[in-house]
Amino acid sequence: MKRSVIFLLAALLAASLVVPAMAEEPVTLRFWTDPRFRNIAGMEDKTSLPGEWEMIQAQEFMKLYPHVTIEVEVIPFEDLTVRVPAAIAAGGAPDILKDYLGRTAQYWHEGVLEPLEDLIPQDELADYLPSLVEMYTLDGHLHALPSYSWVGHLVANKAIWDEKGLGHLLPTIDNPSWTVEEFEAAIEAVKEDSLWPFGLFVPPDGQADYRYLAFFWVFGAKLYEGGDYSRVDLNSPEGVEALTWLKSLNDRELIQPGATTMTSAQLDTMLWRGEIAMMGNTAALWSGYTNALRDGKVTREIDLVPVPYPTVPGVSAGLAVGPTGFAIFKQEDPNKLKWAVEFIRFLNQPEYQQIYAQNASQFPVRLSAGNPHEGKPHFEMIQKMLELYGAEDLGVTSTYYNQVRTLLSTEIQAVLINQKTPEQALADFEREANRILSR
Amino acid sequence: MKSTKRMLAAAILAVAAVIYLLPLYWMITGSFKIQSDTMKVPPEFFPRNPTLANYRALLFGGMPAFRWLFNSIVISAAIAFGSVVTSAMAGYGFAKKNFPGRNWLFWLMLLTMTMPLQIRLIPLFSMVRQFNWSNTYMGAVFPHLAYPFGVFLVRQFSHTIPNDLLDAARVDGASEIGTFTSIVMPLLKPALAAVAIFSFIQGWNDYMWQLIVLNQNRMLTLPLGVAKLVTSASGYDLGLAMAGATFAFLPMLVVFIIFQRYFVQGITMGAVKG
Amino acid sequence: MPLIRSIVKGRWGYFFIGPAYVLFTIFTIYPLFEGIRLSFYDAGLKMRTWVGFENYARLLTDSAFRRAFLNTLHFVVIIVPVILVLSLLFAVLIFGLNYVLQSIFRAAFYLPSVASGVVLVAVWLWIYNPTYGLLNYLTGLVGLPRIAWLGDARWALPALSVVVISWALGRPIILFIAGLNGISREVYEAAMIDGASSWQQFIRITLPLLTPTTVFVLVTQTIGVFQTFVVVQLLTRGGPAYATQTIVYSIYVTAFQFLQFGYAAAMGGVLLVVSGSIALFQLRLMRADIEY
Repeated sequence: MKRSVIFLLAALLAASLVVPAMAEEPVTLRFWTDPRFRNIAGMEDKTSLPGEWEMIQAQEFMKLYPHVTIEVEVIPFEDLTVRVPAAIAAGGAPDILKDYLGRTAQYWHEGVLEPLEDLIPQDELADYLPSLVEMYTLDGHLHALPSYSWVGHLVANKAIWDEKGLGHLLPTIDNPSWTVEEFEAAIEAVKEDSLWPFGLFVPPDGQADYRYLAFFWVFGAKLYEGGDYSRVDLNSPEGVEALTWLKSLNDRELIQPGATTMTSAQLDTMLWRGEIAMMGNTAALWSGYTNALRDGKVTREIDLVPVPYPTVPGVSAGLAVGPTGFAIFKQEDPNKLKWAVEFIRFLNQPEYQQIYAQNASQFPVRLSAGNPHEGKPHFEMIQKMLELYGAEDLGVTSTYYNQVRTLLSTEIQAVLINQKTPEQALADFEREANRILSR
Repeated sequence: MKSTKRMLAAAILAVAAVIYLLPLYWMITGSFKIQSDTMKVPPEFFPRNPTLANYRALLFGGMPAFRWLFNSIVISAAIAFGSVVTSAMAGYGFAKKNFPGRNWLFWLMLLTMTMPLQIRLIPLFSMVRQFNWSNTYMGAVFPHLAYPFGVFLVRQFSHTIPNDLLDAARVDGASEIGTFTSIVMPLLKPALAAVAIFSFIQGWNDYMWQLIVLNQNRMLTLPLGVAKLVTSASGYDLGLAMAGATFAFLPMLVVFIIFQRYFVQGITMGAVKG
Repeated sequence: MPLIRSIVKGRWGYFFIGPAYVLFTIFTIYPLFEGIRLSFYDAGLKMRTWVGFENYARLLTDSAFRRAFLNTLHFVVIIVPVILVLSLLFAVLIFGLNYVLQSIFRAAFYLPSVASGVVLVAVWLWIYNPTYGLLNYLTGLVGLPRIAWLGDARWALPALSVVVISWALGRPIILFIAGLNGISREVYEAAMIDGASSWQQFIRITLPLLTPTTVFVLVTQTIGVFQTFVVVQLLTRGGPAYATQTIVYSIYVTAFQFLQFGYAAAMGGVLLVVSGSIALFQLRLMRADIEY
């Protein structure tokens, strides 16, 4: 057992000895969670639906602290963007929210979250990856507590290459890099009728921005100028080159039709059915595939492998990192705040960190969680890529994140459907985005 | 001559109707296909390997589909009942009673019929929350209890009630409420049936408001649950989505078949006289 | 005071409209008023600052909103005439049939209208799928190339229009049949004696006498199109490149994704004025007819 767990247990024991004497005041906490986890290893029967795992966790906590009642509500991904803002605006925010950094950061900018830096013990905070703590620190405050994170990279269905005896065209862990030309050769080699070598997803609302921004990074273009988010920087020769290249993939029909309005789930399904050979995604695709197999939605055996983005000589391009964390909404009752903090600390204990990592193919954010993916070649590959290339900034924590990414995806769409040239689109993006940012 | 013309008309209509109903046919047959068959090219116009697996997954796969159905029925029925009562009273009041501001109040009500919900969504939700009605039937039902279209319909229909009848009742010493319940209400029956049906459907299909006001899984309504199947980020299962869509459509189909006559009456009543 | 006297005299009127009107005031008038008030604030989730007409001024220069406004009109221009022509055509054809066939066809065309938008959109999402959708299969049979119906700027707006039309014909058909029933046989008989052909009868008698119904259908359908939401949200989310962005969808995105509730409320204000004018127009027409 890890030292911090022992410490936690000791603290709990001590607390349980003291607590009954003072009969705690009852506390009810509303916990809203995204539907990330399903089919937790070893308890698949009890966790076949999203939210059930979080309820089990809440019950564990309530066993330890009987005076605390936790109401768990699972919000589907597609509703997180509507229900949570509506609830906050109408004064009915939950006490605790588990959600993507892109959204918790927006709520921080709206002034509705509790700063957490003084509520989490310093030695415990020291156990978190410094880069994550830094990402979560906005205006000098820890706006939420990171819990786990994905890394954006390419995922290929290697079976498609292997069937043609072309497996050697894909990079391996011993040689984890390739050029743009090698990438193009690899995808052109598997193009067939009803098989699109590359799956691209540029939805109108700017979701999954990491997948298309990655290609800009490949060519050396950056989304923002400098460290702050006051001006965009994508309208550069490198940016134009990247977009022109992306467009050429589309024109050569190397990209599936409907990249502009397809849903992410439709794209995943195409990959699982062997209709798409490669796309930008995260390791979460493996657990998605496993779940789909279990649900009987897919029957085909595929061989998903992580692949790095291609590189251009002289350019260092990192990978996108997308963490999820716990945010606590502004509390009037200090006692409630205290127990909300206790609960998120409980949810982030190293053992759970490992379960999160293993069951949703995520990376832990606490050092004491160790490496739950040790010995798994796919994850070793991803870790190697991350070491090699580092992390890139999506601008997730910028105040106008959603507007800027919606603007960008719309301009990329205009290029893909032949309404604008890459030069026009990026110039329009720069003008509009800077106008928003300067407000 | 005339009969050939009729046959031609019937033939054209038959073709048009087949095309028009094709999406519904596609939905229902799709609900009996397994996932891989739904994506087959060329598509199967009739499921070659029909399966009930989607319905099993929908109804017994851990999703509270029956609870969603129950919620939809309770919410829609409550809206229908409330709308009938308020519309009957108000429609009659606007048609047969004289009072200052009558026309003005009536037109104001009709005018707002055309305003999209989005304009008042947030203030409405704030208020419903202050009543502690989020995630309750009350929250889903109450904003719909005043049904301007129903008021309009009843008002139109009330004009057919002869004033002599009402005067006679008054002479006989019947109270206002007594006249309304024992004379007016029975005469309004066709209009009230139409109000009940239309408000029931409106409650059933009230997607946007329900999305905001109901967020616990066990409080969802059937269309909300179906939307989840369709847009679910955790894998796109067409067969299951179609089963959900069919399941949400069936109750409306039954309502329509049983009350078809009132649909037609209600629609024509609500319009201008041609 | 005569006013007070007539109020007292009209007390039963207030009694009967009371329940409906109280609910209506609480759940419609008040939130509407609040929504308009919000449009004069720079309002986020919690913070609010009074900005006067700034939101409205911003709308004038917002190219995305202008696009949404034009798209909404574009929808009206495609959808409403098609609905008018098809429903009138079908109504005339149905009208000539016997009672049983009349009921069958009337029901067949009304059936999709009782399904919820979400349900139908789910099917259309499948039909329009570029790789395994029914539509591309059918167009492929006659040798047309594969089209990403929802992902192509030329096709997305028509594609959504088809979906809207696919559930909107039922009501107008019933209305037109009722309208046709209202035209007396004698008018036609007189025309036949004068030797007018069926087409001439249709143009000279049927169409003019159906004008009130036509206008009613026109106005109600226009208002319906202005409220189009589910189709956009579930099929294209306003894309590609704003091709299907509508006013209502812009309000939704601005409020819930960008968290700019004040600005969204100003868009609502514009919509209020536009659909309010259409509604007033409709009311004038209805008033002309219903005060027997």
